[in-house]
Amino acid sequence: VPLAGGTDIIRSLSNGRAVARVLIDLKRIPGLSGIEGTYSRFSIGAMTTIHEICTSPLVKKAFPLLSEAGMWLGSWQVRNRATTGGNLCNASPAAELACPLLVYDAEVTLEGPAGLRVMPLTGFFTGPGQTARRHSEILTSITCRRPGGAEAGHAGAYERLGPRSAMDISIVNVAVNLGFEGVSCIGARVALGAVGPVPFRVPEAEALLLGHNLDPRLIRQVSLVAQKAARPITDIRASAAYRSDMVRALVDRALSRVLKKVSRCE
Amino acid sequence: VNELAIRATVNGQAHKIIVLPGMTLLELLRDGLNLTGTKEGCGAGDCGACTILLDGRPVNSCLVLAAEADGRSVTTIEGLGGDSLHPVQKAFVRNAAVQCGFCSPGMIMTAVALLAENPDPTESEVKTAIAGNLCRCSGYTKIIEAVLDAACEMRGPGGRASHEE
Repeated sequence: VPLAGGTDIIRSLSNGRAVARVLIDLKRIPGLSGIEGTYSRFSIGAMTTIHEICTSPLVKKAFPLLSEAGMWLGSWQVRNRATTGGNLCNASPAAELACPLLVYDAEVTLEGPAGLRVMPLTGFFTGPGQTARRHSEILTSITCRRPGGAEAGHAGAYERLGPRSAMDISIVNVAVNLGFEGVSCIGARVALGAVGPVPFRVPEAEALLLGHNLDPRLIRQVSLVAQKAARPITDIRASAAYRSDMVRALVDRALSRVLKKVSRCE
Repeated sequence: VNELAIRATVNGQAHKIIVLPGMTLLELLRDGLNLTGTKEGCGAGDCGACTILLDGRPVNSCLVLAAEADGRSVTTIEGLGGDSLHPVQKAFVRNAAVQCGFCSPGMIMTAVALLAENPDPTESEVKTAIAGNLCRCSGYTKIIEAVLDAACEMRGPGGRASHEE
């Protein structure tokens, strides 16, 4: 079993929920950690810690949803250990980094004995705790892009609902990222977390936004479409009905924040 | 079981230690090295009582394998100060920020790391930093005051807070 930050696996090993005969510490492999890139495109080594994501000036400036969402993950102690690759490979439907990465068109690079393959993050998650990673492969890096490139105007927002402002897993989380030409939306990404077996994008909601000017009426429509796309379950954190309502509320809130940012620029 | 030999610096002292593969750093510190100042609360990374510094960064030692400390530097509550108490420890005493005391070592380690990174934190930055350190006596107010007081003390005269509360 590959060992990344260990904040999940070591806990599962000590309480017996996981069994491993051999752990391979990926942190010892050189070149798997670090952030490099430009304003429009960048690459994160899979062993980059969440703390590094949260404090990286490049991430904060060009891909702010990632550092914002990262701050919701666990405590400072956990963020110092937990890694970006671990957060994705652990494949929690509520993974904090998943929705921001989805709206940044993330691609993951997997490497194994058969070579290297790159796949979009949308195809990486296959179920709760399950991914397209083969047993012999490791996730080595994640690449992000801003839709429309560096030239287009951009605004995004991350919204999440949790019982506490720290140390808690999301009940629902939402990321939106829009590219603008003037006030017209030329690129739209809407992603939902913790309301289905995997974090996912909502193409119907994105299609509604494309080519239109963002306004409160459109925001209401998009939120309803997103709510319809969600397939939440009832669990210890919240009921399916509550989650469903919260999808609408959070998408509305996220897009309203985007609208505010855009109107300020005009 | 295959034992592993690791080299780690613990509180400034180089150690060569034989560890078991499944052993956590917390177990190594408490049971192997007798450094019982580090506490085990939940053993699951939720409470922060076992916080230590790994290469200067606060981590939950219950979520780190002893083997992962190979080649690293570990600082525990015993490694602060030296002959007298560390300024953060003194501030905790001065501000009566200790009730039952179980969370104190972890709380202090996080505070020491915060002040090393940010000598002049706001109250809200202190709260964010210690969000992963639970105090079941609920003595947070005094703890936060102690950290801010320690910050002030450590900056010394002239290092006034840049943000008034």
